[in-house]
Amino acid sequence: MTSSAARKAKDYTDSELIALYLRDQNTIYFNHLYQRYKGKVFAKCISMLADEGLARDATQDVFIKVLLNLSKFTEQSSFSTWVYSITYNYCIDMIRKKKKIPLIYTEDIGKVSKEPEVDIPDSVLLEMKQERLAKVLENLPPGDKAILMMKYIDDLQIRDIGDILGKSESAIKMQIMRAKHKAQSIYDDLFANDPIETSNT
Amino acid sequence: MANNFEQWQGDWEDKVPEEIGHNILHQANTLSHFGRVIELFVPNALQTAAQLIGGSSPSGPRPRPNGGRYSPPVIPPGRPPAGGSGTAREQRLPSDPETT
Repeated sequence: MTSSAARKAKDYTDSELIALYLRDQNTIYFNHLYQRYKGKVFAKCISMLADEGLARDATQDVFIKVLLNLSKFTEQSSFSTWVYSITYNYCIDMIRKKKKIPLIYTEDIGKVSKEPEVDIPDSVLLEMKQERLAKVLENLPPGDKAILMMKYIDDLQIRDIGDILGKSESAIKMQIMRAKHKAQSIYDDLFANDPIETSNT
Repeated sequence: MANNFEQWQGDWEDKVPEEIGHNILHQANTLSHFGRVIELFVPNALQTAAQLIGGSSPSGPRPRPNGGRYSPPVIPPGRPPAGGSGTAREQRLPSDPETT
């Protein structure tokens, strides 16, 4: 048995698993990709859709999309970024269709009379208590929520977020700034009585 | 260390329902089998269809007599060769309007 044959599938990189699946059409290799990303994808779906049943359907559809488009993956970005981009775009489309709400980003509200002048430091969001953060994110428009998740959970660069959402870097920078302002104002509305509690306290 | 966003999302990462995996792998297997069936049968089906509508068989062109070389047509005895000694007028039939 050669050393490469002795390698377990879990030791393969994403690219190697994709190449092996495309060559052999053996679902064992795809199963390993699924095992690697199922948790992240399901968590993103449920964070975006706030409904376990919809998240279950969305996770399934996202992985079927990934499977059907695996041969089109060009490795311009990492596989994880590609999978997450399919996930975010699928969830945003699902929200548009199911809830029939045009409000995806703060800028869609039409109440944004002027550009935010001062950027809110990341620490303001990152130091919120988890329960409070969950409440704030629940009340954010889904597009803003997706952008903050890409920035603070997936640690994606502005350019990558722009590629995922099909927007320019400057537009993404502005949307991040607006999303942070929106999150801050939701926090202020929800916790006006006890505004100082953070994860450090 | 995970930040509060990661912790918030991480709560769901271990709660993926098992049935999702089964459904996805079932569909992946079905697609894989379907692909193999197409790969196996479609070329033969196309070949059969081509033969039914008069196409040539894929085993190559039909063998020609005389090894594919030119051979002159066989003229039956008693018939003058075309373009031979007779003129156009001599070859016309009596019912030809020019002759009447």
